[in-house]
Amino acid sequence: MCGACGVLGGGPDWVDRVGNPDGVGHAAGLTRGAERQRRINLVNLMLRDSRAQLIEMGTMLVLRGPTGRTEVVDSLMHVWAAVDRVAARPIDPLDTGLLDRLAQA
Amino acid sequence: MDTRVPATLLTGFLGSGKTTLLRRLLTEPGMAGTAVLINEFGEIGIDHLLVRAVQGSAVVLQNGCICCTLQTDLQQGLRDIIDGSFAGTFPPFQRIVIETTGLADPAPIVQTLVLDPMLKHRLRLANVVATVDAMHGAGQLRTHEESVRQAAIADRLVITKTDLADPAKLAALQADLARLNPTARLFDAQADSFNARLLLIEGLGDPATKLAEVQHWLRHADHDHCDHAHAARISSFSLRIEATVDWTAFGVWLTSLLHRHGARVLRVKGLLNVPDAAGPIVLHGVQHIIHAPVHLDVWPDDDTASRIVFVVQDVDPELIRRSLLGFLAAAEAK
Repeated sequence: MCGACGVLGGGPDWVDRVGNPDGVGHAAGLTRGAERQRRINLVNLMLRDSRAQLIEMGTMLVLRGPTGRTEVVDSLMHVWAAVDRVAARPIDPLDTGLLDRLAQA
Repeated sequence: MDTRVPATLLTGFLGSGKTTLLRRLLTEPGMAGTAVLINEFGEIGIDHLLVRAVQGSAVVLQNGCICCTLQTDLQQGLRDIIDGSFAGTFPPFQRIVIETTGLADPAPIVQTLVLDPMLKHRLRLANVVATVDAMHGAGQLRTHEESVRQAAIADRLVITKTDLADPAKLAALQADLARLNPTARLFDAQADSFNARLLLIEGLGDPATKLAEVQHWLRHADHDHCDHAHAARISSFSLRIEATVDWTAFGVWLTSLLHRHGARVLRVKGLLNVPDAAGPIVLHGVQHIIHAPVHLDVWPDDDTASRIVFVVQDVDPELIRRSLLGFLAAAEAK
C-alpha cells in the first residue's frame, strides 16, 4: 500500500480523488480515510453476491473469499482481478440477478 | 503543463489511403519535426519508401502486426526513437505518427501507449485517425470486423477517394459512420476545405480546444441505441443522467464493467456532473483504458445533465443503462 498515491494505493488512477492532483473533487476537502471507507463500502455493494468481501487490515486492503482465502489488493482493477481468483463466482455488473438484487438494496 | 510528445495513431483498412494521407500530412507547412513509425505487413514493405520520399525519419516495423505479434517491437521502436532523439542519432521531433497495418486493431496499440512504463511518461495519445475508402468502405464495414473496430475507436474519421464515389453511396457511408461512432469528427479527404493538419488538433488534450471537442460530442451524441448490420455487431448509444453523479460509485461501477467486458466496450466518452467538482468532468477511454479525467471550467451548453456515449460490441445497451443507474441508486441509498 502506497500512502502517497491513491486511496487504494498504486499509482494515481483516474478514479482517485485524494492524493491525485488531477483527481475529480481533489480540492473538495475529502479526507483519505473517508474516501477509502466509501470505496470499500461500494466495492462490497458490488460484491454482495460473490461471497467475497473487501476489508481493512491495518494499512492494507485485503479481499477475503468464502473459503477464507485472502489476497492483498492495491487498486480497483486489482480488486476485480482478485475477485476472479478468490470469490465463489466472478463479478459481472451486467448480470441480471445482481441487477435485481441491487434494485432491492 | 503536459510536456509529453503527442502521438497520433493512423489506422484504416487495407487500401483505404493511410499512406497517401500520411504523405500529404508530412508535406503540409509546419510539419517538420514529425517522427513516423510505420508498421507494414508482408515480406516486401513499400509504404515506408513512399513516406521516406518526403520524410527522412521513418522507422519501419515489418513482417507482423503491431496490435498482436509485434507489440514488443512497437514498444522498442518507440523507445528507440525517443532514446535516439536524446542521443542525437534520430532527428529531434515534436510529434509522432504511428501508421498501423490495414488489419490492425487499434485498441491494443492504445493500451501500449498508455500503459508502457517508459512510453507513458514520454508520449501522450493525441488522436486515433482512421481512413475509410469511399468506394469500398461500406462493404468493408459489413464484412471485416477489423474495419469496424478501427472506425469505432477513432477520434477522427477521414473518408478517402470521395471524388470516385457515387454521391448517394458516399452519403450513406457518412451516415453509417456517424451512427457507428457519433462523437468522431468526420472529414472528406478530397474536400477543398480539408487540411490534413486538422487531424492533429488534439481536442481534449489541448486546453484551447477541449471545450469545442466536447461540444462536438454532445451535438452528435443525441441519438439513442443504434444497431447495425456490421461485421462486428457494434452499436453506439448515449446515456443521460439528470441527477448528479457520485464519482466514487461511478468509478467502482465502471472499473468492474471494464474488468469483465472491457474487450467489448470499444469506447466510452462522457461529460459528468459531479457534485464536489469545480466544473464538468470529461471522461474518455478505449476498452480497458480510461484516460485521466479532463476538467472543464464551464459547461459546453445550457444542459448540465451527465451524458455518456458508449460504443460497444455484442453488449446489450439496456443492460449497461440498467446496471449503471441501478448501482448509482443503490450506492446513494447506502
